[in-house]
Amino acid sequence: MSIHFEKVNYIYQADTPFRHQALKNLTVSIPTGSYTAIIGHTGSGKSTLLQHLNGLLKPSSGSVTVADKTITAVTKNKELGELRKHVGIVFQFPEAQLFEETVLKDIAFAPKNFGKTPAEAEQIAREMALLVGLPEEVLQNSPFELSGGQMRRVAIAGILAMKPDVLVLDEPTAGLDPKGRHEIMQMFAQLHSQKQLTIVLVTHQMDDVANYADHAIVLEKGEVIASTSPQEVFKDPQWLLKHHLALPKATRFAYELQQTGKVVFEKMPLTEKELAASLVDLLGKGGN
Amino acid sequence: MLSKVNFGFFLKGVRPLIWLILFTVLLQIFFARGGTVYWQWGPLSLTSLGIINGSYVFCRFVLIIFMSTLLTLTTAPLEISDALESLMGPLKKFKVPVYEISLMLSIALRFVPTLMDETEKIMNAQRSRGVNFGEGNIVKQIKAVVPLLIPLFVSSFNRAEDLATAMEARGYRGGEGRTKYRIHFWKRNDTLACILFGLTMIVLLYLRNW
Ligand SMILES: Nc1ncnc2c1ncn2[C@@H]1O[C@H](COP(=O)(O)OP(=O)(O)OP(=O)(O)O)[C@@H](O)[C@H]1O
Ligand SMILES: [Mg+2]
Repeated sequence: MSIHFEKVNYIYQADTPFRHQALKNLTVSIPTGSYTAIIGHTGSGKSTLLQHLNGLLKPSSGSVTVADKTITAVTKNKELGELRKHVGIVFQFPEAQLFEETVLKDIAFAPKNFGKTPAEAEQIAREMALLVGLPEEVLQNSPFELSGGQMRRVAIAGILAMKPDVLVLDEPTAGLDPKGRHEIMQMFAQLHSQKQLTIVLVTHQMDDVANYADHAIVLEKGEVIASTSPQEVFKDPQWLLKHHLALPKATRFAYELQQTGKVVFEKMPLTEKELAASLVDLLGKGGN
Repeated sequence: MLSKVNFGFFLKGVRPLIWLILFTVLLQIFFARGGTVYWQWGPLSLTSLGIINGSYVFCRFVLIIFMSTLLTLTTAPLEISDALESLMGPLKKFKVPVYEISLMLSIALRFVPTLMDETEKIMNAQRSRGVNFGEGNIVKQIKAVVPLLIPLFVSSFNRAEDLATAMEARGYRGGEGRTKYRIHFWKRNDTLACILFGLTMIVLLYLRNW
Protein backbone atom coordinates (compact mmCIF):
# COMPACT_ATOMS: atom_id res chain seq x y z
CA MET A 1 0.00 0.00 0.00
CA SER A 2 1.55 3.25 -1.06
CA ILE A 3 1.44 6.11 1.41
CA HIS A 4 1.94 9.73 0.48
CA PHE A 5 1.73 12.96 2.45
CA GLU A 6 1.20 16.07 0.35
CA LYS A 7 1.80 19.49 1.96
CA VAL A 8 0.28 18.35 5.23
CA ASN A 9 -0.17 20.88 8.02
CA TYR A 10 -1.56 19.85 11.35
CA ILE A 11 -2.51 22.28 14.09
CA TYR A 12 -3.52 21.17 17.59
CA GLN A 13 -6.26 23.24 19.30
CA ALA A 14 -6.41 25.61 16.35
CA ASP A 15 -8.80 28.26 17.71
CA THR A 16 -7.42 28.62 21.20
CA PRO A 17 -4.48 30.38 22.83
CA PHE A 18 -2.84 26.90 23.06
CA ARG A 19 -2.62 26.60 19.28
CA HIS A 20 0.34 24.45 18.29
CA GLN A 21 1.42 23.56 14.78
CA ALA A 22 2.76 20.01 14.99
CA LEU A 23 3.27 19.29 11.27
CA LYS A 24 4.50 21.94 8.87
CA ASN A 25 3.96 21.66 5.13
CA LEU A 26 5.08 18.07 5.24
CA THR A 27 5.52 16.22 1.94
CA VAL A 28 6.89 12.69 2.15
CA SER A 29 6.28 9.17 0.83
CA ILE A 30 6.53 5.83 2.58
CA PRO A 31 7.50 3.23 -0.04
CA THR A 32 5.22 0.21 -0.44
CA GLY A 33 6.62 -2.88 1.25
CA SER A 34 9.38 -0.92 3.00
CA TYR A 35 10.44 -1.04 6.62
CA THR A 36 10.45 2.69 7.32
CA ALA A 37 11.84 4.17 10.50
CA ILE A 38 10.68 7.60 11.64
CA ILE A 39 13.16 9.30 13.93
CA GLY A 40 13.44 12.71 15.49
CA HIS A 41 13.84 14.52 18.77
CA THR A 42 11.05 14.35 21.34
CA GLY A 43 8.09 16.51 20.29
CA SER A 44 9.12 16.57 16.63
CA GLY A 45 5.70 15.30 15.52
CA LYS A 46 6.28 11.57 15.02
CA SER A 47 3.18 10.39 16.85
CA THR A 48 1.13 13.11 15.19
CA LEU A 49 2.26 11.88 11.79
CA LEU A 50 1.35 8.28 12.66
CA GLN A 51 -2.18 9.21 13.59
CA HIS A 52 -2.71 10.53 10.07
CA LEU A 53 -2.05 7.07 8.63
CA ASN A 54 -5.48 5.73 9.55
CA GLY A 55 -7.40 8.96 9.79
CA LEU A 56 -7.43 9.36 13.58
CA LEU A 57 -6.23 12.86 12.80
CA LYS A 58 -7.10 14.62 9.58
CA PRO A 59 -4.73 17.16 8.08
CA SER A 60 -5.66 20.78 8.84
CA SER A 61 -4.65 21.39 5.24
CA GLY A 62 -3.05 19.24 2.55
CA SER A 63 -3.82 15.58 1.97
CA VAL A 64 -2.74 12.08 2.98
CA THR A 65 -3.14 9.25 0.47
CA VAL A 66 -3.07 5.62 1.63
CA ALA A 67 -3.54 3.15 -1.26
CA ASP A 68 -6.56 4.58 -3.12
CA LYS A 69 -7.98 6.55 -0.20
CA THR A 70 -7.27 10.26 0.10
CA ILE A 71 -7.85 11.97 3.42
CA THR A 72 -8.26 15.73 3.66
CA ALA A 73 -9.64 18.08 6.30
CA VAL A 74 -13.22 17.41 5.15
CA THR A 75 -13.14 13.58 4.96
CA LYS A 76 -16.04 12.06 6.93
CA ASN A 77 -15.34 9.58 9.73
CA LYS A 78 -17.72 7.07 8.17
CA GLU A 79 -15.43 6.70 5.17
CA LEU A 80 -12.48 5.68 7.32
CA GLY A 81 -13.63 2.25 8.55
CA GLU A 82 -12.25 0.44 5.51
CA LEU A 83 -8.88 2.20 5.86
CA ARG A 84 -8.57 1.29 9.54
CA LYS A 85 -8.89 -2.39 8.61
CA HIS A 86 -5.75 -2.12 6.51
CA VAL A 87 -3.59 0.04 8.75
CA GLY A 88 -2.89 -1.39 12.21
CA ILE A 89 -1.40 0.98 14.77
CA VAL A 90 0.40 -0.19 17.89
CA PHE A 91 0.45 2.90 20.09
CA GLN A 92 3.01 3.96 22.66
CA PHE A 93 2.35 1.79 25.74
CA PRO A 94 -0.41 -0.17 24.00
CA GLU A 95 -1.21 -2.23 27.08
CA ALA A 96 -3.49 0.67 28.05
CA GLN A 97 -5.99 -0.56 25.45
CA LEU A 98 -6.64 -3.96 27.08
CA PHE A 99 -10.12 -4.40 28.53
CA GLU A 100 -11.62 -7.84 27.86
CA GLU A 101 -12.14 -10.60 30.41
CA THR A 102 -9.63 -12.93 28.84
CA VAL A 103 -6.48 -12.54 26.81
CA LEU A 104 -8.00 -14.48 23.93
CA LYS A 105 -11.11 -12.30 23.79
CA ASP A 106 -9.02 -9.16 23.81
CA ILE A 107 -6.93 -10.29 20.87
CA ALA A 108 -10.11 -11.30 19.02
CA PHE A 109 -11.70 -7.88 19.58
CA ALA A 110 -10.44 -6.12 16.44
CA PRO A 111 -11.16 -8.93 13.95
CA LYS A 112 -14.69 -9.20 15.37
CA ASN A 113 -15.19 -5.46 14.90
CA PHE A 114 -14.00 -5.73 11.33
CA GLY A 115 -16.57 -8.35 10.44
CA LYS A 116 -15.12 -11.77 11.31
CA THR A 117 -17.40 -14.29 13.04
CA PRO A 118 -16.57 -15.04 16.69
CA ALA A 119 -15.24 -18.48 15.74
CA GLU A 120 -12.97 -17.09 13.02
CA ALA A 121 -11.80 -14.33 15.33
CA GLU A 122 -10.89 -16.82 18.05
CA GLN A 123 -8.98 -18.91 15.54
CA ILE A 124 -6.99 -15.84 14.46
CA ALA A 125 -6.45 -14.84 18.09
CA ARG A 126 -4.88 -18.23 18.86
CA GLU A 127 -2.53 -17.92 15.89
CA MET A 128 -1.46 -14.42 16.90
CA ALA A 129 -0.92 -15.36 20.53
CA LEU A 130 1.43 -18.08 19.33
CA LEU A 131 3.17 -15.66 16.98
CA VAL A 132 3.95 -13.11 19.71
CA GLY A 133 5.12 -15.87 22.04
CA LEU A 134 2.37 -15.97 24.65
CA PRO A 135 2.23 -19.29 26.53
CA GLU A 136 -0.93 -21.33 25.91
CA GLU A 137 -1.93 -21.35 29.58
CA VAL A 138 -2.41 -17.58 29.91
CA LEU A 139 -4.93 -17.33 27.07
CA GLN A 140 -7.93 -17.78 29.37
CA ASN A 141 -6.53 -15.50 32.09
CA SER A 142 -7.50 -11.89 32.58
CA PRO A 143 -5.06 -9.63 30.71
CA PHE A 144 -4.65 -7.59 33.90
CA GLU A 145 -2.99 -10.49 35.71
CA LEU A 146 -0.08 -10.64 33.28
CA SER A 147 3.39 -9.15 33.59
CA GLY A 148 4.11 -5.88 31.78
CA GLY A 149 5.97 -7.63 28.99
CA GLN A 150 3.18 -10.14 28.46
CA MET A 151 0.57 -7.38 28.42
CA ARG A 152 2.57 -5.66 25.71
CA ARG A 153 2.54 -8.88 23.68
CA VAL A 154 -1.23 -9.24 24.07
CA ALA A 155 -1.73 -5.68 22.87
CA ILE A 156 0.52 -6.23 19.85
CA ALA A 157 -1.23 -9.51 19.03
CA GLY A 158 -4.52 -7.59 19.20
CA ILE A 159 -3.35 -5.36 16.35
CA LEU A 160 -1.72 -8.15 14.32
CA ALA A 161 -5.06 -9.99 14.50
CA MET A 162 -6.50 -7.35 12.16
CA LYS A 163 -4.10 -8.75 9.54
CA PRO A 164 -3.19 -5.23 8.41
CA ASP A 165 -1.24 -4.47 5.22
CA VAL A 166 0.54 -1.61 6.95
CA LEU A 167 1.77 -2.12 10.50
CA VAL A 168 2.51 1.09 12.38
CA LEU A 169 4.59 0.86 15.55
CA ASP A 170 5.06 3.75 17.99
CA GLU A 171 8.05 2.81 20.18
CA PRO A 172 6.79 -0.78 20.56
CA THR A 173 9.63 -1.89 22.83
CA ALA A 174 9.84 1.09 25.19
CA GLY A 175 10.16 -0.19 28.74
CA LEU A 176 10.83 -3.83 27.86
CA ASP A 177 13.83 -5.88 28.96
CA PRO A 178 16.59 -6.43 26.37
CA LYS A 179 15.59 -10.03 25.65
CA GLY A 180 11.90 -9.21 25.18
CA ARG A 181 12.86 -6.25 23.03
CA HIS A 182 15.00 -8.41 20.78
CA GLU A 183 12.30 -11.10 20.46
CA ILE A 184 9.61 -8.61 19.51
CA MET A 185 11.79 -6.75 17.01
CA GLN A 186 12.74 -10.09 15.41
CA MET A 187 9.08 -10.99 15.11
CA PHE A 188 8.31 -7.74 13.28
CA ALA A 189 11.27 -8.30 10.96
CA GLN A 190 9.95 -11.75 10.16
CA LEU A 191 6.47 -10.45 9.39
CA HIS A 192 8.05 -7.88 7.12
CA SER A 193 10.09 -10.37 5.14
CA GLN A 194 7.56 -13.22 5.06
CA LYS A 195 4.28 -11.39 4.56
CA GLN A 196 5.59 -8.32 2.70
CA LEU A 197 4.02 -6.11 5.36
CA THR A 198 4.82 -2.42 5.10
CA ILE A 199 6.17 -1.44 8.51
CA VAL A 200 6.39 2.09 9.90
CA LEU A 201 8.43 2.22 13.10
CA VAL A 202 8.87 5.19 15.39
CA THR A 203 11.86 4.71 17.63
CA HIS A 204 14.55 6.43 19.64
CA GLN A 205 16.81 3.36 19.29
CA MET A 206 19.22 4.06 16.46
CA ASP A 207 20.35 0.44 16.62
CA ASP A 208 16.85 -0.66 15.63
CA VAL A 209 16.95 1.71 12.68
CA ALA A 210 20.31 0.27 11.63
CA ASN A 211 19.33 -3.35 12.18
CA TYR A 212 15.88 -3.47 10.67
CA ALA A 213 14.87 -0.45 8.60
CA ASP A 214 15.51 0.03 4.89
CA HIS A 215 14.21 3.60 4.78
CA ALA A 216 14.42 6.42 7.29
CA ILE A 217 12.48 9.64 7.68
CA VAL A 218 13.94 12.28 10.00
CA LEU A 219 11.58 14.84 11.51
CA GLU A 220 12.46 18.07 13.24
CA LYS A 221 9.88 20.47 14.67
CA GLY A 222 7.19 19.09 12.36
CA GLU A 223 9.27 19.23 9.20
CA VAL A 224 10.93 16.43 7.22
CA ILE A 225 14.67 17.08 7.14
CA ALA A 226 15.63 13.77 5.52
CA SER A 227 13.88 10.87 3.80
CA THR A 228 16.49 8.42 2.63
CA SER A 229 18.34 5.18 3.44
CA PRO A 230 19.69 4.62 6.98
CA GLN A 231 23.18 4.50 5.44
CA GLU A 232 22.78 8.10 4.22
CA VAL A 233 21.31 9.31 7.51
CA PHE A 234 24.18 7.97 9.59
CA LYS A 235 26.96 9.04 7.27
CA ASP A 236 27.49 12.50 8.77
CA PRO A 237 28.01 12.56 12.56
CA GLN A 238 28.14 16.38 12.62
CA TRP A 239 24.73 16.63 10.98
CA LEU A 240 23.29 14.10 13.45
CA LEU A 241 24.71 15.97 16.41
CA LYS A 242 23.20 19.20 15.14
CA HIS A 243 19.78 17.56 15.04
CA HIS A 244 20.08 15.85 18.46
CA LEU A 245 20.31 12.34 17.04
CA ALA A 246 22.64 9.55 18.05
CA LEU A 247 24.66 7.06 16.01
CA PRO A 248 24.09 3.30 16.15
CA LYS A 249 26.59 1.66 18.50
CA ALA A 250 28.57 -0.06 15.77
CA THR A 251 28.83 3.11 13.69
CA ARG A 252 29.98 5.15 16.66
CA PHE A 253 32.62 2.57 17.43
CA ALA A 254 33.84 2.71 13.82
CA TYR A 255 34.03 6.51 13.85
CA GLU A 256 35.94 6.55 17.09
CA LEU A 257 38.30 3.97 15.72
CA GLN A 258 38.79 6.03 12.58
CA GLN A 259 39.52 9.14 14.67
CA THR A 260 42.60 7.45 16.06
CA GLY A 261 43.92 7.70 12.51
CA LYS A 262 44.95 4.08 12.32
CA VAL A 263 42.18 2.73 10.10
CA VAL A 264 39.90 4.06 7.37
CA PHE A 265 36.54 2.45 6.74
CA GLU A 266 35.46 2.49 3.10
CA LYS A 267 31.82 2.16 4.03
CA MET A 268 30.60 2.98 7.51
CA PRO A 269 29.18 -0.12 9.22
CA LEU A 270 25.69 0.29 10.71
CA THR A 271 25.27 -3.02 12.49
CA GLU A 272 27.53 -5.16 14.62
CA LYS A 273 27.64 -7.73 11.84
CA GLU A 274 28.83 -5.18 9.29
CA LEU A 275 31.34 -3.84 11.77
CA ALA A 276 32.77 -7.30 12.41
CA ALA A 277 32.95 -7.98 8.65
CA SER A 278 34.79 -4.72 7.92
CA LEU A 279 37.18 -5.29 10.79
CA VAL A 280 37.98 -8.77 9.52
CA ASP A 281 38.48 -7.22 6.10
CA LEU A 282 40.81 -4.50 7.40
CA LEU A 283 42.86 -6.97 9.43
CA GLY A 284 43.14 -9.21 6.40
CA LYS A 285 44.58 -6.34 4.39
CA GLY A 286 47.23 -6.04 7.02
CA GLY A 287 46.38 -2.69 8.63
CA ASN A 288 47.89 -2.13 12.08
CA MET B 1 -13.82 45.79 36.52
CA LEU B 2 -12.03 44.46 39.53
CA SER B 3 -10.96 41.19 37.89
CA LYS B 4 -9.58 42.43 34.52
CA VAL B 5 -11.44 39.71 32.62
CA ASN B 6 -12.55 40.47 29.08
CA PHE B 7 -16.34 40.68 28.84
CA GLY B 8 -16.32 38.45 25.75
CA PHE B 9 -15.34 35.45 27.87
CA PHE B 10 -18.52 35.81 29.92
CA LEU B 11 -20.67 35.74 26.81
CA LYS B 12 -18.76 32.68 25.57
CA GLY B 13 -19.65 30.91 28.79
CA VAL B 14 -23.34 31.59 28.24
CA ARG B 15 -23.44 30.43 24.64
CA PRO B 16 -23.45 26.64 25.11
CA LEU B 17 -26.29 26.90 27.64
CA ILE B 18 -28.41 29.42 25.78
CA TRP B 19 -31.00 26.87 24.59
CA LEU B 20 -31.45 25.43 28.04
CA ILE B 21 -31.92 28.93 29.43
CA LEU B 22 -34.38 29.98 26.74
CA PHE B 23 -36.36 26.76 27.19
CA THR B 24 -36.71 27.24 30.94
CA VAL B 25 -37.57 30.90 30.54
CA LEU B 26 -40.27 30.15 27.96
CA LEU B 27 -41.72 27.43 30.19
CA GLN B 28 -41.93 29.95 33.01
CA ILE B 29 -43.45 32.65 30.89
CA PHE B 30 -46.13 30.54 29.27
CA PHE B 31 -47.11 28.13 32.01
CA ALA B 32 -46.92 30.19 35.18
CA ARG B 33 -50.30 31.55 36.23
CA GLY B 34 -51.23 34.57 38.28
CA GLY B 35 -51.37 38.32 37.99
CA THR B 36 -52.90 40.05 35.00
CA VAL B 37 -53.63 37.85 32.00
CA TYR B 38 -52.47 39.44 28.73
CA TRP B 39 -53.04 36.62 26.28
CA GLN B 40 -54.36 33.08 26.39
CA TRP B 41 -54.39 30.13 23.99
CA GLY B 42 -55.31 26.70 25.29
CA PRO B 43 -53.00 25.82 28.15
CA LEU B 44 -50.60 28.64 27.23
CA SER B 45 -51.05 31.97 28.85
CA LEU B 46 -49.05 35.11 29.10
CA THR B 47 -49.39 36.62 32.55
CA SER B 48 -47.60 39.35 34.44
CA LEU B 49 -46.39 36.87 37.07
CA GLY B 50 -45.10 34.60 34.29
CA ILE B 51 -43.05 37.40 32.82
CA ILE B 52 -41.62 38.36 36.19
CA ASN B 53 -40.73 34.74 36.98
CA GLY B 54 -39.22 34.33 33.55
CA SER B 55 -36.94 37.29 33.96
CA TYR B 56 -35.93 36.08 37.43
CA VAL B 57 -34.93 32.70 36.03
CA PHE B 58 -33.04 34.33 33.20
CA CYS B 59 -31.08 36.58 35.55
CA ARG B 60 -30.31 33.70 37.88
CA PHE B 61 -28.93 31.53 35.11
CA VAL B 62 -26.81 34.28 33.63
CA LEU B 63 -25.47 35.28 37.04
CA ILE B 64 -24.56 31.71 37.93
CA ILE B 65 -22.65 31.35 34.67
CA PHE B 66 -20.95 34.74 35.04
CA MET B 67 -19.89 33.95 38.60
CA SER B 68 -18.48 30.54 37.77
CA THR B 69 -16.70 31.93 34.72
CA LEU B 70 -15.22 34.64 36.89
CA LEU B 71 -14.09 32.12 39.50
CA THR B 72 -12.49 29.70 37.05
CA LEU B 73 -10.79 32.40 35.01
CA THR B 74 -9.32 34.29 37.95
CA THR B 75 -8.51 31.51 40.38
CA ALA B 76 -6.35 28.43 39.83
CA PRO B 77 -8.01 25.18 40.94
CA LEU B 78 -5.37 24.63 43.59
CA GLU B 79 -6.09 28.05 45.05
CA ILE B 80 -9.75 27.13 45.28
CA SER B 81 -8.95 24.04 47.27
CA ASP B 82 -6.58 26.03 49.49
CA ALA B 83 -9.35 28.52 50.09
CA LEU B 84 -11.80 25.78 50.97
CA GLU B 85 -9.31 24.35 53.41
CA SER B 86 -8.88 27.63 55.21
CA LEU B 87 -12.63 28.37 55.16
CA MET B 88 -13.37 24.95 56.62
CA GLY B 89 -10.67 25.47 59.22
CA PRO B 90 -13.11 25.96 62.13
CA LEU B 91 -14.71 22.59 61.34
CA LYS B 92 -11.55 20.90 62.55
CA LYS B 93 -12.90 21.40 66.07
CA PHE B 94 -15.73 19.02 65.15
CA LYS B 95 -13.31 16.36 63.90
CA VAL B 96 -14.08 17.01 60.25
CA PRO B 97 -11.04 15.79 58.24
CA VAL B 98 -10.42 19.15 56.61
CA TYR B 99 -6.88 18.46 55.40
CA GLU B 100 -7.92 15.20 53.84
CA ILE B 101 -10.90 16.72 52.08
CA SER B 102 -8.82 19.51 50.62
CA LEU B 103 -6.07 17.08 49.60
CA MET B 104 -8.62 14.89 47.86
CA LEU B 105 -9.97 17.92 46.06
CA SER B 106 -6.51 19.06 44.93
CA ILE B 107 -5.64 15.60 43.67
CA ALA B 108 -8.93 15.24 41.84
CA LEU B 109 -8.47 18.63 40.19
CA ARG B 110 -4.86 17.90 39.36
CA PHE B 111 -5.77 14.72 37.49
CA VAL B 112 -8.60 16.09 35.36
CA PRO B 113 -6.32 17.02 32.44
CA THR B 114 -4.39 13.78 32.80
CA LEU B 115 -7.60 11.82 32.63
CA MET B 116 -8.72 13.72 29.55
CA ASP B 117 -5.42 12.97 27.83
CA GLU B 118 -5.77 9.34 28.76
CA THR B 119 -9.33 9.21 27.44
CA GLU B 120 -8.19 10.64 24.13
CA LYS B 121 -5.39 8.08 23.85
CA ILE B 122 -7.56 5.09 24.64
CA MET B 123 -10.28 6.28 22.29
CA ASN B 124 -7.71 6.49 19.52
CA ALA B 125 -6.41 3.02 20.28
CA GLN B 126 -9.90 1.50 20.26
CA ARG B 127 -10.87 3.42 17.13
CA SER B 128 -7.90 1.81 15.45
CA ARG B 129 -9.32 -1.54 16.54
CA GLY B 130 -12.59 -0.79 14.78
CA VAL B 131 -14.74 0.84 17.47
CA ASN B 132 -16.96 3.69 16.27
CA PHE B 133 -17.73 6.07 19.09
CA GLY B 134 -20.92 8.07 18.75
CA GLU B 135 -22.32 6.08 15.84
CA GLY B 136 -25.14 3.59 15.41
CA ASN B 137 -28.11 2.94 17.68
CA ILE B 138 -28.15 3.37 21.44
CA VAL B 139 -27.20 -0.26 22.23
CA LYS B 140 -24.18 -0.02 19.95
CA GLN B 141 -23.12 3.26 21.52
CA ILE B 142 -23.32 1.88 25.04
CA LYS B 143 -21.34 -1.16 23.96
CA ALA B 144 -18.69 1.11 22.47
CA VAL B 145 -18.14 2.77 25.84
CA VAL B 146 -17.06 -0.43 27.60
CA PRO B 147 -13.64 -0.66 25.90
CA LEU B 148 -13.07 2.94 26.92
CA LEU B 149 -14.25 2.86 30.53
CA ILE B 150 -12.52 -0.32 31.67
CA PRO B 151 -9.00 0.81 30.68
CA LEU B 152 -9.71 4.21 32.24
CA PHE B 153 -10.73 2.63 35.54
CA VAL B 154 -7.77 0.30 35.53
CA SER B 155 -5.29 3.07 34.85
CA SER B 156 -6.88 5.39 37.42
CA PHE B 157 -6.60 2.74 40.12
CA ASN B 158 -3.03 2.02 39.16
CA ARG B 159 -2.22 5.68 39.19
CA ALA B 160 -3.83 6.18 42.59
CA GLU B 161 -1.73 3.38 43.99
CA ASP B 162 1.45 4.78 42.44
CA LEU B 163 0.64 8.21 43.79
CA ALA B 164 0.08 6.88 47.29
CA THR B 165 3.39 5.04 47.19
CA ALA B 166 5.20 8.09 45.87
CA MET B 167 3.69 10.30 48.58
CA GLU B 168 4.67 7.90 51.31
CA ALA B 169 8.15 7.56 49.86
CA ARG B 170 8.48 11.33 50.11
CA GLY B 171 7.42 11.31 53.72
CA TYR B 172 3.78 12.37 53.64
CA ARG B 173 2.17 11.64 57.00
CA GLY B 174 -1.15 13.40 56.82
CA GLY B 175 -1.97 17.06 57.20
CA GLU B 176 -1.37 17.93 60.86
CA GLY B 177 1.47 20.43 61.21
CA ARG B 178 2.24 20.48 57.50
CA THR B 179 3.72 23.72 56.22
CA LYS B 180 2.50 25.27 53.02
CA TYR B 181 4.20 26.00 49.73
CA ARG B 182 1.73 28.68 48.72
CA ILE B 183 0.95 31.21 51.41
CA HIS B 184 -1.92 33.62 50.85
CA PHE B 185 -2.14 37.10 52.25
CA TRP B 186 -5.21 39.19 52.84
CA LYS B 187 -4.92 42.25 50.58
CA ARG B 188 -6.87 45.47 50.27
CA ASN B 189 -8.71 44.17 47.22
CA ASP B 190 -10.00 41.25 49.27
CA THR B 191 -11.51 43.57 51.86
CA LEU B 192 -12.97 45.66 49.06
CA ALA B 193 -14.54 42.61 47.39
CA CYS B 194 -16.00 41.42 50.68
CA ILE B 195 -17.54 44.81 51.45
CA LEU B 196 -18.93 45.03 47.93
CA PHE B 197 -20.51 41.61 48.19
CA GLY B 198 -21.91 42.38 51.63
CA LEU B 199 -23.51 45.56 50.35
CA THR B 200 -24.99 43.82 47.30
CA MET B 201 -26.46 41.16 49.53
CA ILE B 202 -28.05 43.69 51.87
CA VAL B 203 -29.50 45.62 48.95
CA LEU B 204 -30.89 42.45 47.39
CA LEU B 205 -32.45 41.28 50.66
CA TYR B 206 -33.97 44.68 51.16
CA LEU B 207 -35.42 44.75 47.63
CA ARG B 208 -36.87 41.30 48.08
CA ASN B 209 -38.84 42.13 51.19
CA TRP B 210 -39.96 45.45 49.88
N1 LIG C 1 -3.30 16.75 22.09
C1 LIG C 1 -2.39 17.70 21.91
N2 LIG C 1 -2.70 19.01 22.10
C2 LIG C 1 -1.79 19.98 21.91
N3 LIG C 1 -0.54 19.78 21.52
C3 LIG C 1 -0.15 18.53 21.31
C4 LIG C 1 -1.04 17.41 21.49
N4 LIG C 1 -0.36 16.28 21.21
C5 LIG C 1 0.88 16.66 20.87
N5 LIG C 1 1.01 17.99 20.93
C6 LIG C 1 2.24 18.76 20.60
O1 LIG C 1 2.62 18.47 19.29
C7 LIG C 1 4.02 18.28 19.19
C8 LIG C 1 4.33 16.96 18.55
O2 LIG C 1 3.89 15.92 19.40
P1 LIG C 1 4.12 14.38 19.09
O3 LIG C 1 3.41 13.61 20.14
O4 LIG C 1 3.76 14.11 17.68
O5 LIG C 1 5.71 14.25 19.30
P2 LIG C 1 6.62 12.96 19.18
O6 LIG C 1 7.59 13.23 18.09
O7 LIG C 1 5.79 11.74 19.06
O8 LIG C 1 7.40 12.96 20.55
P3 LIG C 1 7.89 11.73 21.47
O9 LIG C 1 9.17 11.25 20.88
O10 LIG C 1 8.11 12.37 22.81
O11 LIG C 1 6.81 10.70 21.49
C9 LIG C 1 4.57 18.42 20.60
O12 LIG C 1 5.18 19.69 20.71
C10 LIG C 1 3.37 18.30 21.50
O13 LIG C 1 3.52 19.14 22.61
MG1 LIG D 1 5.37 10.07 20.38
